[in-house]
Amino acid sequence: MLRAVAVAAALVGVSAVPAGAQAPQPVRLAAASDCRQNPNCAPGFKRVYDFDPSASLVRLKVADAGVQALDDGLAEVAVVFSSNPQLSRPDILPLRDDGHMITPDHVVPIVRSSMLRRYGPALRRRLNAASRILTTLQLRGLNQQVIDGRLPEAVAGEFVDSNALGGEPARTRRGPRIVIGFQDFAENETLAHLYASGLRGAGFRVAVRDTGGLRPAAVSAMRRGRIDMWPGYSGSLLGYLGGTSLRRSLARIGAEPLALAPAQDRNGFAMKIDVARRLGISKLSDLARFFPAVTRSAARPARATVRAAADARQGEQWAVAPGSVLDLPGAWELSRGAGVTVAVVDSGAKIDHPDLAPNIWTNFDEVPGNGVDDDRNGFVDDVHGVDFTTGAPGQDLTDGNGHGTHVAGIIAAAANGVGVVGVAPKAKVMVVKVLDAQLAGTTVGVAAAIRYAAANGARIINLSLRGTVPDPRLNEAIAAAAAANVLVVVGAGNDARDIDTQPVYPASIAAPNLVSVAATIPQDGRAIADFSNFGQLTVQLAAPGDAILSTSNTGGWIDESGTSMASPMVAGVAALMLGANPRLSAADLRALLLQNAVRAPLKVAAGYVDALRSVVAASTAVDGGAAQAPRLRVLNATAKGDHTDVQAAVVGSTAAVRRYVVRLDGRPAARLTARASPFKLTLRRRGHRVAIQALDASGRVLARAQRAVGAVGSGKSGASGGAQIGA
Amino acid sequence: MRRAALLAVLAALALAAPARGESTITMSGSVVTQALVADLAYFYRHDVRDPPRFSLTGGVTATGIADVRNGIVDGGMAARALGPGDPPGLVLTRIARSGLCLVTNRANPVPGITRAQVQDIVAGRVTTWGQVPGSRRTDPIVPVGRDPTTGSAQVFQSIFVDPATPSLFRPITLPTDLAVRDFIAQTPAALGYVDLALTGPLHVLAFDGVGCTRATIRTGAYPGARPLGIVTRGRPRGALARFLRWTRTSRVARRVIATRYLPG
Repeated sequence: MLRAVAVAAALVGVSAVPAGAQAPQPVRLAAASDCRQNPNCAPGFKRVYDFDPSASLVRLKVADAGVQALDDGLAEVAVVFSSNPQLSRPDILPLRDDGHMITPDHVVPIVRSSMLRRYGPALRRRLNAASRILTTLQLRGLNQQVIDGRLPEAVAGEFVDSNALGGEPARTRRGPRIVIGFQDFAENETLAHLYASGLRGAGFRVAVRDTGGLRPAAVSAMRRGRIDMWPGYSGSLLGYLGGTSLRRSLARIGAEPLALAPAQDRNGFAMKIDVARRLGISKLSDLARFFPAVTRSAARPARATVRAAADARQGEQWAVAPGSVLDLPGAWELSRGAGVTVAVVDSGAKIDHPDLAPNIWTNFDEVPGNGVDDDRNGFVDDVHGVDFTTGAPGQDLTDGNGHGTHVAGIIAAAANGVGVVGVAPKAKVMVVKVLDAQLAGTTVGVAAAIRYAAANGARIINLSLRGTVPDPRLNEAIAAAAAANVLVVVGAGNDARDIDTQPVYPASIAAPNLVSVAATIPQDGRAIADFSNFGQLTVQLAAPGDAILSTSNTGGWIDESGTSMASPMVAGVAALMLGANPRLSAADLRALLLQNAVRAPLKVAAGYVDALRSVVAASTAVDGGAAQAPRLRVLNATAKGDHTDVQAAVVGSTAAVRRYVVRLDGRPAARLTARASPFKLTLRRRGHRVAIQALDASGRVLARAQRAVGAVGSGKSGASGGAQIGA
Repeated sequence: MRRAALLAVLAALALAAPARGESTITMSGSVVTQALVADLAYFYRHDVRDPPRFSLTGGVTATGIADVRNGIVDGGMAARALGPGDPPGLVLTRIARSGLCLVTNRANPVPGITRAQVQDIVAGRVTTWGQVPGSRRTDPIVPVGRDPTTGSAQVFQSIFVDPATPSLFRPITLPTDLAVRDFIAQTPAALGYVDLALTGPLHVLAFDGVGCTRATIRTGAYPGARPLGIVTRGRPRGALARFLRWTRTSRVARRVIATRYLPG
């Protein structure tokens, strides 16, 4: 059944605050009609927080319309379900349950007992499998998609398909149609379609129907035989039915609860931030001041606000100042890039610089200086990165020019009270050297560097370099990075020209995981520098790139200008976004950067990058990747001695993947359990072609990929040649 | 110090097209159109044999058009008709008819607005709600909009604003219609415009006495209608062409479109 998205609140019966209330100012609580009986509402407040809000209730007819009641000024506090993405709105403050009143409330399918007996364990197994894949975060993501205009049926169906529970069944089961009801709000409708899609995928005949009301309507429909199941919520359903066991309480209406989903939709309480500040409320116990007391609870000290001290020369960094075009200080309240690795593909870096040393990436699987490729990734002693400027097996990451050191500092100079602060001061920098002291390199070296970075854990690659000759190997490496879910950020170049008509590379390469960046000037950060390349089709963003103070290869700090400085600004913002939401795909990261750029009459496609808007958007974004079926890529396969090293990545939803089967030249070579992507493995023989399959719990193949096995020596073979490239 | 760029000197090589699976349809562009296309894609995948994959990336109409023009995607998801400022050789295949609605916060239920009042607001002659008949507010109007390159902004400018009206109005510009919807839902004094399907949590103003509804768009009474569709380089081809044909001919597709829009 197709239905329009219905999120509008229907509100009835606004009650007045009683004249005798002890509160210094009337505070109203918006909640569904069951608040007076719900242990997570009025009875809970009486039991745990010693006050009774019953006399000041604003009754919600639609269960999860609390935020709209706040928007409409009908209440100061509202019940908001924990799976409601509107809780992340910047003007909404979820109140902390400091007394631990709120009980767990898992999603649970409630099924007519006779239907379970009719279909036997097959029905139970299928519904339990559908419940198992649903986490609270995923439920919140599904809700957000519906709020953003999608149909609950399509959103739920996609989720089931991507977790290998949907699709067309081999046969339709004989037996009665199963009628799934839903309570009259969007999340419950989505859940009903989720279970319906799962059942259809196993050949059951299913219909989905609105019960026309909330929990009482669903219970009544079950009791009267109008529905055979509905998605319930364990804690609040037990509170409604009464008793101590959900199973025993449901037995009275001829139904049974199946396995609880990991997803919870607990009651929560929220306020508008400005109202909460005005009234001095941040947690549920604070509400005791505004409602009639049962017995008063003791006041608690307010939480102290901690702010990081500024670095010594931060005042000279115009691009990171409060109110600058980047809007960084606000973004730092949400993320500092922790857990994100950014590869700086450049002239090396001074890795012992006091502002860089805390944030240099380390490959802990490699033993320094032993001349051995300990982690079998094809590179000897790549402890902090790789040097592609020579064919020698060791790694000399020293920066003979200073360009790479400056770029690295812009991205991730530590917030340590010394010198400057980077855009993402807790991100890690992987040093990948492709330019010599004269800033000369080759496209093939850059391509090899991109592949190395993607295969060894970088989520972002910064390329502050350019050439004028296209090289398909560069395109292929960027496509391989896309397969590994890596964003590539590129400086547009410093020729003061329109690269829509006079392309430079890699900035002009069209790829869904590539962003090219023009430079802006310090006056207000909103005009493009006269030296910067531009292009309304091929240059997506602008960022500060003139008079930028950052780390020097002498151990000090220096001003530099160029799109080489603008590109790492955007790479740093992308690191902040991934720090806030590590599950974002590279394509989503690029889309969010562009969507949240500030539009201006600049000759670029989107505008100038805004860190705060981008990080806020990233932190609330739906996980697009999880809605895609899994896709497998073999990133690299090399034979060395008597073994074959393989690197592979899986993108999209990995929830249903249980194991991988690896074949070498058609013969079984390894079986692996599901693991984080990308992953590496070593096969104990040589071969010519490696093939990998991803399988679900039943052995069904979800994705497959293959690749020819190449031969490498030091890991740097094939990393020289191609067109010249420089910074 | 400004970094000097090094010149590449080797022979030019053809720029390789990005690798793409044969059965994946890639699209980018307007998030309003994306929500509709994503729903249609789900039902399409369940309605045909050997369906393609879909890779949809949200943004704005202009980025979708740029991505199509650059060959990054097969289709650009657009929320406006093509205009003379767009690159040549592009074709828009319409999927649905929508409308751009003028909206306020629900706490400010102004019944309607006239063309003359819109001109006064855009020209800066009316700056507070106290100057707008029917509003109980007196505080300054907070105008909200999209940047001038977006489909919504261009539709607003071309339909609701007279060419002779001086533009002294400086709206807060937001990246998507979704962001505009959320901002207005959170800002009691806001005035802006969003797509018909996103008006749920907002108050919709009648324009010159005509409501923004599917019925008034169908009859042509409401002037703010706009197409939602897919932009391609030349006529659609291959898997994308088959999908677009299905959106016009399938009863399932028409039902999906009818949940919020009118068929194209």
